[in-house]
Amino acid sequence: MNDEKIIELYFARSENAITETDKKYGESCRKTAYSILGSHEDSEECTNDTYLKVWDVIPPQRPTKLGAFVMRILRNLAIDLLRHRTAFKSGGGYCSVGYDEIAECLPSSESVESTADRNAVRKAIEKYLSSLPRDKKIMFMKRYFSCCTYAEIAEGLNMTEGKVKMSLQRMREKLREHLEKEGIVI
Amino acid sequence: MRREDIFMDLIGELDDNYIALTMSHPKRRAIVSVTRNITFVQPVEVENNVSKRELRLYYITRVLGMAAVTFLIVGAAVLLIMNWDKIIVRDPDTPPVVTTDVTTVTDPSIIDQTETGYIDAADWGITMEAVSADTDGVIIEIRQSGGSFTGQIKYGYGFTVEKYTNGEWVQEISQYGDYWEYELAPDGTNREYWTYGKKLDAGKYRIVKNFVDLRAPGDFDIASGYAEFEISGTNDIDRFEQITDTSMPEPGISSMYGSYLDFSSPWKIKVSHILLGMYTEQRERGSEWVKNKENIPTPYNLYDSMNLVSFCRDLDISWESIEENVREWDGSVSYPAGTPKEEYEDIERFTEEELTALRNGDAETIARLLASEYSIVIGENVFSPEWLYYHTIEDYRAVGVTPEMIAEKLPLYEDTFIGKDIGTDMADESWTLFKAKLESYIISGKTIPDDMLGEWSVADVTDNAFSEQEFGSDNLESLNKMLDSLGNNDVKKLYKQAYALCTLTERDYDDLSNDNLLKQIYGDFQYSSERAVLLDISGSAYACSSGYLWESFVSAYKSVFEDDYADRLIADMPCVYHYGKELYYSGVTSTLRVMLYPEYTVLKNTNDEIVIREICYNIDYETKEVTDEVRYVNENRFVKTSDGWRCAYFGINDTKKSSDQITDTSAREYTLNRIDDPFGDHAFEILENAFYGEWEIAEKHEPYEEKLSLTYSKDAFYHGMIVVSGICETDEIYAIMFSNGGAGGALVIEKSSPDVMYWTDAYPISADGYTISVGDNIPGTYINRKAEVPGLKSGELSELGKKKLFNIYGKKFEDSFNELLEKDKSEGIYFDGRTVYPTWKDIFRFGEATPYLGTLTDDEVRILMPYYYEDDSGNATELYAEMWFSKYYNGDWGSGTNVSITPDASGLKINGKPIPNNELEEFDLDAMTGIVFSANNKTIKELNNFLESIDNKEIVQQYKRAYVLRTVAFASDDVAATLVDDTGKVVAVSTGFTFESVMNAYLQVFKSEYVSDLFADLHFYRYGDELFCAGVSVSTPDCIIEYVFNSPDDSPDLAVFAVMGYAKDEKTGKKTDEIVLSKDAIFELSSVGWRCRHFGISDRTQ
Repeated sequence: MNDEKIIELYFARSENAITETDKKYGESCRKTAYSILGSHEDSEECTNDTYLKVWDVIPPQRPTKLGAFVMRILRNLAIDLLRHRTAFKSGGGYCSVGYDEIAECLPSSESVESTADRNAVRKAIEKYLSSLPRDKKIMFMKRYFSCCTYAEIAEGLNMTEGKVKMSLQRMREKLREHLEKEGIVI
Repeated sequence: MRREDIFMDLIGELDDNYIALTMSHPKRRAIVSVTRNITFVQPVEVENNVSKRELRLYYITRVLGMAAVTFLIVGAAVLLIMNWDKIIVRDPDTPPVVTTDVTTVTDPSIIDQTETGYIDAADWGITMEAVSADTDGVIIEIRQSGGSFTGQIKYGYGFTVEKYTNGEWVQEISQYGDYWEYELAPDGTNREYWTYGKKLDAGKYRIVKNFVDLRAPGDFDIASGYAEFEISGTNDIDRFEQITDTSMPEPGISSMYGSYLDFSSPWKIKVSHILLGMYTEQRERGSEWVKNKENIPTPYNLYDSMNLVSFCRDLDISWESIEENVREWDGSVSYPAGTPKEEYEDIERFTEEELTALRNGDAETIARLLASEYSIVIGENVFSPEWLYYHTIEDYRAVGVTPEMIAEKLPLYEDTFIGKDIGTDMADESWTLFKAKLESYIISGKTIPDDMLGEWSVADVTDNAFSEQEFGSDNLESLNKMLDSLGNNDVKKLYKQAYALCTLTERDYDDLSNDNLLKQIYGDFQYSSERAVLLDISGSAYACSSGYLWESFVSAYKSVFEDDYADRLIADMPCVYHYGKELYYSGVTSTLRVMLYPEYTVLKNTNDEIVIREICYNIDYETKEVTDEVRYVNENRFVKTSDGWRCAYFGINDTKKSSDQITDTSAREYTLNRIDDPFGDHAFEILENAFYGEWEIAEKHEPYEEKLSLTYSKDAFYHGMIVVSGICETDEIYAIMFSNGGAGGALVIEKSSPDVMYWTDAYPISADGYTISVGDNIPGTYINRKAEVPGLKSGELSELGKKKLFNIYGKKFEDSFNELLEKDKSEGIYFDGRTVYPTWKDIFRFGEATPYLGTLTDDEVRILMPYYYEDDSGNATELYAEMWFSKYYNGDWGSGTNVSITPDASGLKINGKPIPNNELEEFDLDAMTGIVFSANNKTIKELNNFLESIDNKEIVQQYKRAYVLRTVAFASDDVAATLVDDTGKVVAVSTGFTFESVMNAYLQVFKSEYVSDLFADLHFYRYGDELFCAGVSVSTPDCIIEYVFNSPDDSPDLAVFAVMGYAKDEKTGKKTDEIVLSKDAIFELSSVGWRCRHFGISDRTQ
C-alpha cells in the first residue's frame, strides 16, 4: 500500500493503518531500532511505541514522506530509550557509534568565534550533506541516524567495511571543518 | 546535555530527504549509472545505435552544462560518474500520465521485480530490444505501441539476466529492485543502459524485466518482457593485444572512483575534459573519434589519448572555438560548499601559459605543464601509471623511463593506489606485482655497468685467510714447514689458495666486495640496502652486488681446483649468485668453529699426485661448550693436470665431518624416521607433511641434536621465520627450498622412501631451477621448479599455519578467520590513543610479529601475540593481543580480536549463555564515576566535601576514577553467564562490559605496570570480548573517617591521599585514638598526566 493510502487510513482512524505501516516499514524500523538498542526485545518495544506515536500525531499531521516520518520518530524514541537504559553502565553511549567518533564531527571550541543556534547547526549539517554524493549521504545517515555498524553499511553499499570506515572518518573530519568554517559551536 | 547527544539529536532532526536515505536499498555496482531523479534531464532526440560511450558523454556533459556537481569528467577511456544508477533517455514527446483512483490494497512496490510476471509484456504493446551489449552491460530499447494496458506502465531497476545453456535459459544474474519508478509512456521509447554488476562471459543471454500496468496506487498488473543479446568476447581483447606485460592481472581499481583517472590518465583532468558544446557539435564524428581513441590502450602520446588537443586536431576544429568554450566553462564553474580544494583543483581554469601551449600545439610544453602528477614525462610523451602497469621494464628502458623516475613516483603510487583514500585501493595481488615490478626496475638502475666490474682475485682472499688473526702465526709456521717439505712450490701456493677459497664463507662476507668500486658507485653503502640486491619471489633481498665479474670468480676457483670440483664447490657455496655478469653474494651462517691448531702428514708425494692429511683441532661453539675440542680429519689431494697442478679435493670445507666419519662421505645427510602416514605429491601436502608431520631422529651422524630438531622448523615455519620459496622435484625426490634469515636450505624427501627426510645445508638458485647437494656422494643434483608455494610471501609463512588451522577446523572457520583479518584492515591495536602494534592482517601478511597458538580445542582457537606496552616513562608491561574464535552450537564461528592482560589459561569453563560480543557494553569510566560520586550516602558526601577542598581538580578527578575502579563491583545486573572451575564453583561472573574498554579505563588511571597487578588481584577474566569478574566488594569498618591530601612541595609530581579510620567510643560515639583503618593512594605526574601507582583499600572480599 502506498503512503498516501496509509495516511488516509490514519485519518480514518482505521487500525489497519498501523498494520499497513508495519507491513511497509516494520522491517526497517526493527532493523534500525536493533542497530541502536542492540536488543530484539527493546527494538520490538520501540517499534510498537513508534506506531502509537504515529497514531497519535496523524492526524493532524499529514507527512509528505511517511517512511522518513516514521523513521524519525522511531530513531528518536530509540535514542531516548538507549540513554535511559544505559545511564548506569555507560552513560548513554550509542550502540555502535562511539563518543570519539562523534567528537570528530564536532568543531573544537577554540577554533571558532561565534555560536549558532540549533536550527543553524542543523542547516549547516544539511548543507554539508547536500555536497556529498548519494553513497556518502547514505553512509552518513545509516551510521548516525540508524546507528548501523560498519559491516551493515558496507553490505548495503557493496563496499568493504574498511572503505566505509575510512570514508566515514573523512566525512567526519570534513563535517567538522565545515562546521568550524560556518562558525558553529555546539 | 552533552555535545555528543546534541549532535545525535540534530541528526534525528534532519530533512526527510536525508532520513529517507536510511531506507535505501543496495545500489548496483556500475561503471556508468545515473540517479533515479534523472527526470530532471531535458529530453533529447533519441537516435539509433546510440552507444554507451555516447550516453556517458551526453549525461556527463549535460550535467556539467547544468553546472551541477562538477566532478564528472571525460578521461582517457574512463568516465567518472558518481552515484548514478541508471541511464535513461526519454522520449521528448511523452505525454504526462494521469493516475486513477485507489481501488486495491496491494502495493506493487513491495514485489520483487526479479520474479517473472504472468502476463507477457507484449500484450501491453511493450517490446524490448537489446541495442548493444558487452561484458559489462547492455543497452536496451523499450517501446510501447498499442496493446491493452489500462493504466500507467512503469518499471523499476530490478531485472534478471539469463544465459542460454544446453537449450535452456538459466538465470545468471538477479538484480533485486522494488521501486517502480520509471514510466513508459504510451507510444513512447526509452533507451537504457543496465550494468550487470559483474563481467559476463561470451554467450547468448536475455535480460528479463517486469512492468506494471498501474491503474492506481495499489491497483496494478505485472507483466514480463525480455530482450535477447549475445556477447561474443571480452571487451578487453583489443586492449590486451597491445599490452606487453600480459602477466599483470586486472588492477582492480574501480572506475567508479577518481583514483582510476589518476591511474589511467596521462593528463590532468582538465586537458581530457571535452565539454558539452564541443562534443554535441561533433556528435557523429565525435562518437567515431571516441571509439578510435578507446581502442588505443594506455596511450602516452598527446594525440593518441582523448584530450582537447587531439580532439581539436583530429576533428579539424579551430582552437579558437575550443578555447572560447574552455574559458566560458572556467568562468561558470562553481563548487559545492565544503568541497576540499584538492578535489577540484585539477579542473580549475587553465592558466594563460597552459592555454598558450595548447594553442600552439607545443606537445613538449603541454606535456610539461599538463601531465598528471602520477605520470612520467619524457619529452612530449606522458606515461601513466596504467602504462607502467601493463608494460615490462624492458619497455620502460625502450621509451626512456629511468629507474630514478620510477623511484620518484613509487611513494605517490603507494599513497594513492593502496587504500589510503576511499575507494582507491588496487587489488592486493595487483599492487604486489606492480610494486615488485617497479622496485625491480629501481634496483636494476643500481647495477654496475659490465665494463666497470672488477676482476676477483684469489690472492686477496689468500692474504686475508692467513693473517695472524685468522690463522695464527704458530699454525702458519706449522703449515709452511709442511709445505716446504713437499719441495713443490706450485702445490705450496695451491694449498694456501685452496684453503682460502674453501674457507671463504667462514670469514667476513665483505671479503667478497670490491669496496673501492662499490663506494664509487653507491657511496657509503650498506649490505642489502644501498647497493643493488637480488630479490626472491617474495621481494626479500637475498644477495647483494659485489662489484666483481662472476666469470673472474669462477676462473679464480678453476685456477686452483680441477674444473668439475671447482664447479661443485661454487654450486655448494650457499652465498654466491650471478646476475648479469656480476657476482652477487649473501651472508651465511658461520659454523662458528675456530681452529686451535692443525697437524699435517704428507701421505703421498709423487710427480703427479700429492695427498696431505690434515687434522684440525677446533673449538666448536655449536656444542655451546667452548672447551670441547673437536677433531676434523681431511685428506687433501692435489693432482697434476694438463693445465698444471690443481687441487682435486680439499676437505676443510666439509665442515660437517667429524673425526669418526673420515670415510663416510654421506656425512651431511640427516636421516629421520617419520611416524605418520606418507603423503601425496601436491605441493601443500608436501609442506604439510614436512612441517607438521611428526618426525623423530632415527640415525644421526652429528653431535648437534638441537639442529636436527624439526620442532624448530615447525615453529619457525608457523611463525613465518622460515620462508619457503618453492617446491621442487626430480624423478627421485621432492625438495622444499627455504631460507631462514640469511641462510637457505632444502628439505629433501626421496619418493621411494617418504619416511625419510634430509635437511641439506644450503642451495644456490639458478634461473630456472635449483641445484642442491644432498651428500658428498651426490655431485650436485639439478632439479626443476615444480611449484611456487601458493600465496606465500615473505613473512607470510603463517599462511601455511593458517591453512593448517583451516584444515583442522574447516571452511566455516576459514571464512571467519579471513573475515576477521579483513575487518581488522584499518584497525591497529590501540592503547591510550597510541598504536602499539600493527593490525593482525599486517602481522600475517608481513610477518611483523610472531603470533602463536594459545588454545586449540574443538570449539575454541586463540592466537596470541605478546607485545609490550610502554608508558611515557618507559616502563613496559607485557600484554597479549589475541585473535579468538569460538564455535557456536550451529557450527558457525564467532571471532574477535582482543588485547588481553591475562590470557585465559586458567582452565575455567563457561556456564550459561554468554552475551554476544556485539551486545556488550563499552565501559564508560567517567559516566560511572559521575554516578558513584552523586550517590546520596554519607561516605560519598564526606569524600566529596573533602575532595572539593583540593585545588588540583585533575588529581581529584583521577582519584575519583581510581576510587571507582578499586571499589565498585563490576558484576552486571543480569548475570548472563559465569565462569566455573573444575568443581563447578563459580569463579567469575559476567559483567556485560567489553574487556578492552575496562582495561583501557584502568590504563587511563593507573600506571601500566600497576594494571597487571590489579587485574590479577581483581580476578578479571576475559571470555570472548567480555570481562568476567570475581564480583569484588569492599567493606569498611564502622569508624570515624578522616581524609588527608598531601602534595609535597619538594615533589610537585607526587600526590598522596590518605584515609584514616578511628574507632568510635562505644558510649559517646566520638572519635578515639585507636586507628582501625589506614590506607593511602599515591599519584605521580607523568607526561600523560596524573597516574595512580598505588591505591590501597581496607578490606575486600570476594
